[in-house]
Amino acid sequence: MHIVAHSTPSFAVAMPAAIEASNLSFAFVSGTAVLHDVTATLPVGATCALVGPNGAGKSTLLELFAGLRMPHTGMLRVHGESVTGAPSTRPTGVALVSTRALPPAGFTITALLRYVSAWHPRWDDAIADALLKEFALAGRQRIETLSFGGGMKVQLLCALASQPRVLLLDEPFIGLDVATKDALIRGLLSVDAGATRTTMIASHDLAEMELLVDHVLVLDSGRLQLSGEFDALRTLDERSATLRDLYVAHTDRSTSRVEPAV
Amino acid sequence: MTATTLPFHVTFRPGEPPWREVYFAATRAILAGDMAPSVPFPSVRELSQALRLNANTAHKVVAELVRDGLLQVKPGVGTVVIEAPRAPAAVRQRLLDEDVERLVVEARRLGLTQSEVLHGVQTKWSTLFGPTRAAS
Repeated sequence: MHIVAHSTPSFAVAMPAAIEASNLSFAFVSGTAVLHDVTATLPVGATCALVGPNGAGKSTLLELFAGLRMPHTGMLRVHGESVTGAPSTRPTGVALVSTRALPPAGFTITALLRYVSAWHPRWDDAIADALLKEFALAGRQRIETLSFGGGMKVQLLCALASQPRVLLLDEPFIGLDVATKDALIRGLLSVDAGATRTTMIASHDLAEMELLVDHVLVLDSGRLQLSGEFDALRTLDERSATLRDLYVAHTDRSTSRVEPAV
Repeated sequence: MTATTLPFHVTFRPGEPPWREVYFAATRAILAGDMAPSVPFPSVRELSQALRLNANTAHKVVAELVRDGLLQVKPGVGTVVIEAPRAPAAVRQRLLDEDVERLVVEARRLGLTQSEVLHGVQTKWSTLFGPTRAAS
């Protein structure tokens, strides 16, 4: 059962969807099914929490959205462009930040930014400079000397400065100290948040996302259990008012499975 | 990019829609005169940064305050607090409810009776604003 909740739009013109997925399914070559019939729509400018137990398929779903994997069945559109996972249809303006892909060694930060900027037509040096300050990073620092948190900062900086239309974050808060997490959130909120950029954050850090998101997707065992606007979902059930409540009510696990904030 | 300090304090209670919590905190500050008329109200970006709040949610707060006539849009400035702000009755009632709840809970904790509390309220009202006329 998949529950959808949206408030009635106050204007007649429909918002264009940033992400439009219908009946998306994915299985690994080995045959292991990861996602089943995922149907969801995310409006432009939304910030969405993607939550669910370990192994629910969150990372795979983000990789599908980024055009890095090919869905077995179903339809996926990002800003109206059809995404099939083939390199020729890789969606433009989509950035994926993940702990699985840390920036390459051998570069200074400045050199890396110059290299990355060449690939992104919408790259903005002013954003990169502002974020270097915000994140307290020095351009001459070498990538391999950065801490784990420093690497995440550089990744988010590259993603934000390239001004993606869709920003996908896979566990951005994991393993970060409080100050680094704060800096990442400030960075996220400082650049075009909510205007034209659509952001999706897959994380177990439910408390951290509570105020950051306006949409929620709950995924469990590869199936979408719940999707919609947070404020509308809040009113569905009095006991389902926080992100944690929604998670507990719509995943097939006991509360003990909710991982504590890292 | 440093977060500005807001002229009001917001406590987020779990499960309450965040925009409402900010809306009521701002309304209270405006009605109490903590923000003088024609003083610029924090921008969506400032609200979002200071409270680490979703930008669409921050936008909704400002939009609702404008809709309810507490803020005015001033081209080139943003929004400012209006002269002699008045909130809708329902909003004032809701703000009063919060204070009344605190008073009742605290009185109960101290072991006071309902009539002692009511008497205390009447006495204080008379001291501050002159003798109260009997409710008509």
